[in-house]
Amino acid sequence: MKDEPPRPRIPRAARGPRPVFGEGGEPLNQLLAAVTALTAEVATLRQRLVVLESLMTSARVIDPGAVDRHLPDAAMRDEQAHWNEALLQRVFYRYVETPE
Amino acid sequence: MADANEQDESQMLIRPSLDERGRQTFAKHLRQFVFGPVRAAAQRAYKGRVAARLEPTIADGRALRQRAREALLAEPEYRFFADLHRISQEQIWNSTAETVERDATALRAQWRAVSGTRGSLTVDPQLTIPEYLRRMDTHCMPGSYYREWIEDDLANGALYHRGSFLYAPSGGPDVDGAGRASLALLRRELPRFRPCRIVDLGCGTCGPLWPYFEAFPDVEIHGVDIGAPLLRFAQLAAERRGRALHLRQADAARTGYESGSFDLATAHILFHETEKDAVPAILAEARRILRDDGILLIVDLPDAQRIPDVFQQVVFDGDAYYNNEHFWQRMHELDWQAELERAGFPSAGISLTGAPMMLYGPPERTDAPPRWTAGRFQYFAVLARRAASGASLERAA
Repeated sequence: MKDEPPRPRIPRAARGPRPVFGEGGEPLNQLLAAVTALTAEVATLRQRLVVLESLMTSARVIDPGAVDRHLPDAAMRDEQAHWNEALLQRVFYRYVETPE
Repeated sequence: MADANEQDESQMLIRPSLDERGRQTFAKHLRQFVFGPVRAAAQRAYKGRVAARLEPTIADGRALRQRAREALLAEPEYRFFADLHRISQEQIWNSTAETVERDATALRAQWRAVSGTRGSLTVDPQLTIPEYLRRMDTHCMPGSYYREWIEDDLANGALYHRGSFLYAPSGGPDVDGAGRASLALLRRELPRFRPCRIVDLGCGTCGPLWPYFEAFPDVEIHGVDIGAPLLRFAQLAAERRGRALHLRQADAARTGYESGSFDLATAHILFHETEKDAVPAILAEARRILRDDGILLIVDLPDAQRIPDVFQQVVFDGDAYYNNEHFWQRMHELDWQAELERAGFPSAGISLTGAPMMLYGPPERTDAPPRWTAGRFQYFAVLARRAASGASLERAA
């Protein structure tokens, strides 16, 4: 493999005071920061889907509005239900995974 | 909420992927959300639960602002605003850092290929960074202006330039809004003034200087900053534009230029990032490097005390608390007239004034120029002429 020149690694936290004002103090502020970062990911994913749909429409792969008109069949609904359950299990593991 | 302003790759010099651009755009929108609906909710809390019991009882403006801030810190809506304000600032840098890390070595290669083609850059690896900049990362930007992560680094220049746009898109995709404001002031007050040599103190990535190249076609422009990564980035940007910038890594209090070198010394948004003890030395140095009849032009943050609404004063002062900007408003506790006179500028040649904040609007057609309009807020501004005592400002015109 070709040697790449070293990249910088920029910290994701600034030096200096970092006051927290909300109820719940530092732990809740960390959660707020995490939720905000996740919201950014939702926005970014949605943008990618919009770009894909737009490109496919322009390339006449799909008709305009085809995605919105689409009705999942029973197999697709089942697949989504399994996926949602697994997702919720991963997200809420602290609430649903208790020691036996 | 609308989004008419964005940078292209020729303006940011980095190449975010679709997802990275998505995160950066979200950070820009998050800040607008914080200063839109979230601030509005805090303002309703202030009007409903704070203003009536405080405002009739406290006459002194500064005391009222302080008490209003203390009272607001008990209100959940303001606490949320304050916390999300800080988080939005962190998202600006964090969303950009990934792109900068990937592109940093390519930027360096581009800079090495063009460095010194037209302009010049002198770095000083032995420079002592002022203590007030070392004690924290200004603007919460990791590494601040001066940290170098790799040899001949441009990373924090790229980070600062892209982040500055995301922070204030109305300053334009070239991040030149402050320069357009200072130039508008110069043209208004000294319409016949034609500088041949300009130096910008605390020049950063030099966005405010691009309008000066357009306004004065034969001008020679110099810039001084403590941050080598910012200066390298500015040099790369200048070379790409076909402009000759002469840059020097130095403290604005000790630039090293010969006395009487410049017709115009500018300082765009510099002083609020210094501190009280540094101001006299920077003003004295500016006077020293100006020629007789040369002009000092300062544009900096507005004085919150001049905003009639107490809630907006508290909000405007917020960056001092959440954004590592400790001198953000305290610079306005200085007596600037007295400071300038102590630095040797004659009283009659000093004008403390305002410069309109210029707001960018994208071109209406691809072949049309962008539309710049004066906003309702004004920068704090200073015009001061180096001259024998008693000479007025107008003589420079």
